[in-house]
Amino acid sequence: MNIKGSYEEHLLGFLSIYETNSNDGYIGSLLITDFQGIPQEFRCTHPIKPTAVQKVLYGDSLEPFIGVNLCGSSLLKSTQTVPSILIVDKNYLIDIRKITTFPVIYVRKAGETIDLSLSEGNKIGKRDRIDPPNSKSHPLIIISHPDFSDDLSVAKKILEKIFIILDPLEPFHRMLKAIEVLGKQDKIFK
Amino acid sequence: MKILRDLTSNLAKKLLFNDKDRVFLLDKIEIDFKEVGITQIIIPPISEPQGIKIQFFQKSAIKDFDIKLSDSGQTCIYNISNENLDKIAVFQISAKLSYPIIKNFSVNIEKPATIGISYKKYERKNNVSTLFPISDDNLCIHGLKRKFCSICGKSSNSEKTKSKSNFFQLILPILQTPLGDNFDSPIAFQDKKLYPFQRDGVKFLVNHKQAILGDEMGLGKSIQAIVAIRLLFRIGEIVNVIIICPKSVLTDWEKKLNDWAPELRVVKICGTPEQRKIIWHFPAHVYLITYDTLRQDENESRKDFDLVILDEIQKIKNPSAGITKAVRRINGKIRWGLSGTPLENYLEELVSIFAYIKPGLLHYSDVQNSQKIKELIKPFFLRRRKQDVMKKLPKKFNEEVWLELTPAQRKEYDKAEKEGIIDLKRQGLSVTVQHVLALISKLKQICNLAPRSKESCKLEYLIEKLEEITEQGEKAIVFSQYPNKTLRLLEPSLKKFNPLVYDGSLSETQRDAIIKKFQEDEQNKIILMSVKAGGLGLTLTRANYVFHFDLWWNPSVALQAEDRTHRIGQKKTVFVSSLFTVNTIEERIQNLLNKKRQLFKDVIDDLSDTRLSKILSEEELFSLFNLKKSKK
Repeated sequence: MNIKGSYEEHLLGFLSIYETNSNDGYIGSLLITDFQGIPQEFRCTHPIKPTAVQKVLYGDSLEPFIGVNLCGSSLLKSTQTVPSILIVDKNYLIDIRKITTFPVIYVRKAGETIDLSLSEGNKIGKRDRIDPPNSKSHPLIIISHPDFSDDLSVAKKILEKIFIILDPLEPFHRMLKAIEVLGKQDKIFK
Repeated sequence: MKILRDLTSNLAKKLLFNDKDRVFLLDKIEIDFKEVGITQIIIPPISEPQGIKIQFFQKSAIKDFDIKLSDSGQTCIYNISNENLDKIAVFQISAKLSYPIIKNFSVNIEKPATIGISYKKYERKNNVSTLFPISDDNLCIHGLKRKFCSICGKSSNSEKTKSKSNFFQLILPILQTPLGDNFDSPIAFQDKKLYPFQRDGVKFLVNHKQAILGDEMGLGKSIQAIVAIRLLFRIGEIVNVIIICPKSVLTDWEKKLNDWAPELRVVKICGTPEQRKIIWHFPAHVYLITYDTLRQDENESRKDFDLVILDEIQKIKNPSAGITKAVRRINGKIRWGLSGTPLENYLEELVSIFAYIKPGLLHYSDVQNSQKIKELIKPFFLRRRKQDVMKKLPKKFNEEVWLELTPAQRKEYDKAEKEGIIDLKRQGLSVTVQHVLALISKLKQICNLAPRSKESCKLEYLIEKLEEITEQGEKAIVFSQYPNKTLRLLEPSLKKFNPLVYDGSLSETQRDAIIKKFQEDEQNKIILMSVKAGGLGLTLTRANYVFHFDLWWNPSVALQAEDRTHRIGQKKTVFVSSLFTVNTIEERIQNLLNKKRQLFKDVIDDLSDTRLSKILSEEELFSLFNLKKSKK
């Protein structure tokens, strides 16, 4: 997949799911920023609170199902802005790629251990490494969806350029804080 | 057993594998047991299990068998023979069945609702913080005063509706890029930079839920506070803040917030009481209000904020003052005070200030021990001086200029003083400190400008100096405590310098316009400023000459005023001249104050300004006219 335009024109999407403040549910969250990380759009879902039975019945597939099928797809449908690339911080969220027209990339710090059993069919996508522009940031590992290997090179090009300005994992902290504050301010998000 | 097993397994199937229904209440199950000829079993509603009814329709096929019901301990055995069947067409088991409690649940997890906002539409405008026009004097487009125009009145209401904010706008600061380890993110700060000591100040505030930033005037206390606010918003520590400040700096705060924290939504609480009542409930990150407005809105104001900032916190030095009481009704999880002179006169003032910032820290019994007070407040108090942190700031030279009254002035002065003293003596025991103060004011005004002859030695000196200054392309500020009895009278004589007059009678809009004009318009060489109206918070770095035409009782007021020029942004040496007249009340007051200054410096040097001094006691005021205060 080719992405046209200079990197300054790129919009970056960040998708994640977070546990609610009361640890009994999940909130999906999508932040779209410009290449400097300045927010352009933010959306989140109402919390999904699976019952104990549902947790047992879904087992390990619970979080991927909620993250991809329920939250991810709903959030992407609701946005007014289309990102050039979607970055996810959980390996199972990479499956959202099946419904997007733009590349999706899973980003994690190099050296972090991950549970590969959570990715669908245990298939592992192609991976690459991005070194940070300065000593403040960690090197990153980027992984594409197994069925969309071309995403990797596109993502690497974009992320290497923006890494000078923006750590691709940093916006996930902002989203987490925002969700925490929403939980404190509005009982719906608790 | 077999029947029961089949029964339960079929029941379970019906319950669990019903295709779409999510509610599984059954009142009938059909079971076909061919070998025994049972064609139907009717089960009452699950919610109220009463028993089981078995109907037999093929009599010939029925044989003897056992029915074991439930595994709950209740067992019913029925022997059924062919003979019985002739008589019994319908057989009912009367024993209660022990059904399992069936809970309804959905296996499907439904898609969640999404909520959010596109920030592209949300762009802060300079006037967004004001719901209503600041001044009601503005004529509307219909040629009427806005407050009297019914059409504009309606549009004000619709404006209010449009301004209703989405909560997602309020979490925007949290979603912004980080400020950087040293508050140096080029994205967050663009071209603005903090000095190293300011970064320390920000860190001090962020790390203290109760704090007073007591930096010397001109070191950027408000900017440090704004960056600290910004940081707290970004880490999700706060979602709202109220800044209470003197009227003269309200607009300055708004401008600085706009410059240093453009993502924060600022609401300035001003206007008529009705307007303010609405504005108080307007969603915003920062609520800006003056001390006086807060006092007026005691019953309307919101009481709980995540952060309360009191600019010029010495405003609450008097525990019985209305302003102090109004402030104390505002709850803040975090409380900061800002002031270059937190201690103006007495240590008791610090007790009152800390009673709000950190209740229980200081007690009035502590004021006898200044060392103890120093130690107690030390963790919550940060003060830096220009001489220590801004070594590159241009120097400031202070000089006292002693002048002789003109003959006509002297005549008027002597006459007024003589008559005044006679009058005080004549009042005898009924004379009060107010009478003395009134005489002092009258005499000081004559020292400034004689009302009958219109002569003034100070004015002559000032004009001479201003000619030199303006020739050099520089500007000056003239401060006086008497806007009407001095400044307005000086104005005609200073016309050639295109003076601007800034005093308490001006509206906020007029004040802002005058400050902007002075800073930007080269035609206006001087500004005549009431020391009370213009002494706090303003930035007037375009001027580097300051003249105190007269001095307030408290030297810290004069210091505050002259530091409007001697602050960050000033590139030239600042010259401050205080004008006094010899053999007058001014000289006597100065002598008394000088004696006290050293003593006070020794006690509280670390806490406040070195030139801070106590005001004069009643006894000392009476002594200025060789009078003794009567003992009543």
